[in-house]
Amino acid sequence: MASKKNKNKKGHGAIKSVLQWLWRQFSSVRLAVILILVVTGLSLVGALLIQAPAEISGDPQAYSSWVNMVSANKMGGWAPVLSALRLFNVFRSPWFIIACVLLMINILICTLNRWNSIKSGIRGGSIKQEEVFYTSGDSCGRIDNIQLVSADVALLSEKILKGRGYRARIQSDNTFLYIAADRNRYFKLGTYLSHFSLILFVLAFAAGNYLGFREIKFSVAEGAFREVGHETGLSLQLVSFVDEYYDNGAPKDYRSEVILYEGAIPVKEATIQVNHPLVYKGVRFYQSYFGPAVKMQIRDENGQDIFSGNITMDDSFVIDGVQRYKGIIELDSLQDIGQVNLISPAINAVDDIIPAGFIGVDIRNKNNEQIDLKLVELGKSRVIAGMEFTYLGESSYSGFQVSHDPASTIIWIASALFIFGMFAVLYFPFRQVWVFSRPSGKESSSLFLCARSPRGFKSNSELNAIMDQIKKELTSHPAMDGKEDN
Amino acid sequence: MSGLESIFLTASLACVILVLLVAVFSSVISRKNSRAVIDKDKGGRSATGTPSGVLSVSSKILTILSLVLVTLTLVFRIIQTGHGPFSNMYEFALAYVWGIIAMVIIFEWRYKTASVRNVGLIVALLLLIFAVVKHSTPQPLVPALQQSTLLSVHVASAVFAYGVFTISFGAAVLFLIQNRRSLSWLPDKETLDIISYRSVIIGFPLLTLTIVLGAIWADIAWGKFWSWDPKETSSLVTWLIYAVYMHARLMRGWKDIKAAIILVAGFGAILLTFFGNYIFTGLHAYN
Repeated sequence: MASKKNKNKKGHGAIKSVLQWLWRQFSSVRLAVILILVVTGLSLVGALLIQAPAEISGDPQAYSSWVNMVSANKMGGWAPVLSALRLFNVFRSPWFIIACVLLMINILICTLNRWNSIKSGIRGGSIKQEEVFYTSGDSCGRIDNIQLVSADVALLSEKILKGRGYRARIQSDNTFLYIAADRNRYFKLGTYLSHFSLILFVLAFAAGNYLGFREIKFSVAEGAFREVGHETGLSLQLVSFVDEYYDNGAPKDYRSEVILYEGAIPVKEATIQVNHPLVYKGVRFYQSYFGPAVKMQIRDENGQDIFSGNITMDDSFVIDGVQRYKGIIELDSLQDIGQVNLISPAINAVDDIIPAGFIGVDIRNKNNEQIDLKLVELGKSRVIAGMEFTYLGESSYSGFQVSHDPASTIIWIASALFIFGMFAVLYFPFRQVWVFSRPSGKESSSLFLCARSPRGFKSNSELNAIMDQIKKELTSHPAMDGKEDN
Repeated sequence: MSGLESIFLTASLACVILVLLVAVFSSVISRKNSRAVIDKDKGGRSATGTPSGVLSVSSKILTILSLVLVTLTLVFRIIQTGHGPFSNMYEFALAYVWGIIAMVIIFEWRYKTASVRNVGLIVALLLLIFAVVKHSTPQPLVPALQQSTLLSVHVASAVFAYGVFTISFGAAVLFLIQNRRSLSWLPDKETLDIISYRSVIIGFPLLTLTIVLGAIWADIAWGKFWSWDPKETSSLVTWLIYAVYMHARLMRGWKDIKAAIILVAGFGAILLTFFGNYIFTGLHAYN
């Protein structure tokens, strides 16, 4: 029994020492610097090396084709190696994620670990310092032969320090007087603000990705409706789309007139432009892209409408060097038909198979096997697979990005807190001054001062300014004949 | 109007060249004086390396004149375009030059060091040459850039940040030279270290603000505040390098040379971000 207890005790001791070791490692600034350098290096790779488009990263086949394309065009034999190292997706790679997570842990532990020193700085440490403290420091000075008693000298120093914005705490020990003064002590908390806001930022970023949604390809043809989904109950109707150009051909404006519906009720009419998204209940619609649409009517053999409306031709593809657009009409209600693919030539493209003014109608069954493929001329009808297709005209579609990020406000708050915390730490540095006054004769005293400033700030300049001020005050005293010895 | 802009641009270039020529001349005299002092009193050294007398005053006046000329070039450009200098590399290079010259004037006034100013002005000169080469007639703004106020503040913040980081680069380069050669006509290492640090604590919050403002604009224009666009990422790399510098100063053995090397790397990252348009493809692809 005793040996089992000892074993448990040893086990706990080992765990404790491992945890302590980990805590020590993660509370080191050196590790922070190393981790920041790792994140920097990986980010540099991400900036310089071509990255796989986000939309194919979840599709292994598309990603593999993309790597083959990169290999053929640019990288040669290096592409598979870089791909295996996940460097084409560096910001989603385990290396980057692990480095970021470790850095966040490091920031958290480093910040927590500094609490005691910050708390003691805010409370104020020991007032009384040994005389050697004043004689051995780098930023120390003294004024000798002051024709005042040490209590008066200390009071004068206290007054000057308070006048310079210091909190001065005084302590006497018989005829010896000690002052510990500090300035900007609460601004030390800025380091907490900036580091915790970084953690908040990363958490909000992750929460936004997890809880929100983003549709990067949300195409709506003119006159058509489209449901947003994601349990929002919203749908968007595109009333019209306009693209304008300058005389030199550069784009001037893209704008979509839309009506937003919640259920069946129109809740907002708006114009969506680049830089002017539509926002409703946290859901944002951004103007993103645009393209052609076709107006098509389909009737069954009895002359009944199966479909009538505008179809977005938002799928661009290239075959034998000819670019074409594809739009899809889902006809699930029909027994034998799965979908109808509409194929049009690209604008200004020379297409021998689908000439300008025609549209290809490709009818597929439920298994996506082709039933028939015919061309229909603009403004005319044609019967294909027992249905009458009428190509009524050309139109446009507008493409939006639709997103909902419930944590975006937190991200902006975290950014503001980070900047605020940084300003507090960098522009209101914590400064400390210690003063010691002791008698050096019957009616004379000596004054010792030491100053400490954060790295990058010269303590001497602050010390000299305080000493100059003290000496100036002393010279106005008739009985005073001060002598400085730095 | 375009004619006046070109005249002021050329005059700015000439003026910066003149400041640097005066600096070279004054440096030669300063070195001679320094040698004379050393001969007279071994161990004597110039405290700040600032050229004295007429040459010092001339170089200061010419530096201020350079700022006035670059300001006028920018003003005439802004009057023509109707927006801030953010639509192409010429405009941003000009704004960056303005930021450098403004900062060298402030730092020279504060620290009385002509040497750091001269390094800054060499960078400004190279950028001015680039601007002259890239000078182009104004083009209308594409829809994404039609967010004048936010973009102007974003670019203004970047201009000040890059300008002040150029100072830290100058001080770091001189620190590394001083560390090897210990030249009497250059500022001492402590002063250079202080200049480096002070410039970074001005530049780092400004760079943070630039990135945050850019993210806000991206959120409005593109629907995503961060897209890992190469130029965005490159600015993050710059930010991280300066973050390393800020933390490295707290570590034993990372002060002095290593800190100066980090600052040189930081400036390299700034150049990569600035000229990245010619390397990267992405949302910031403009010339």
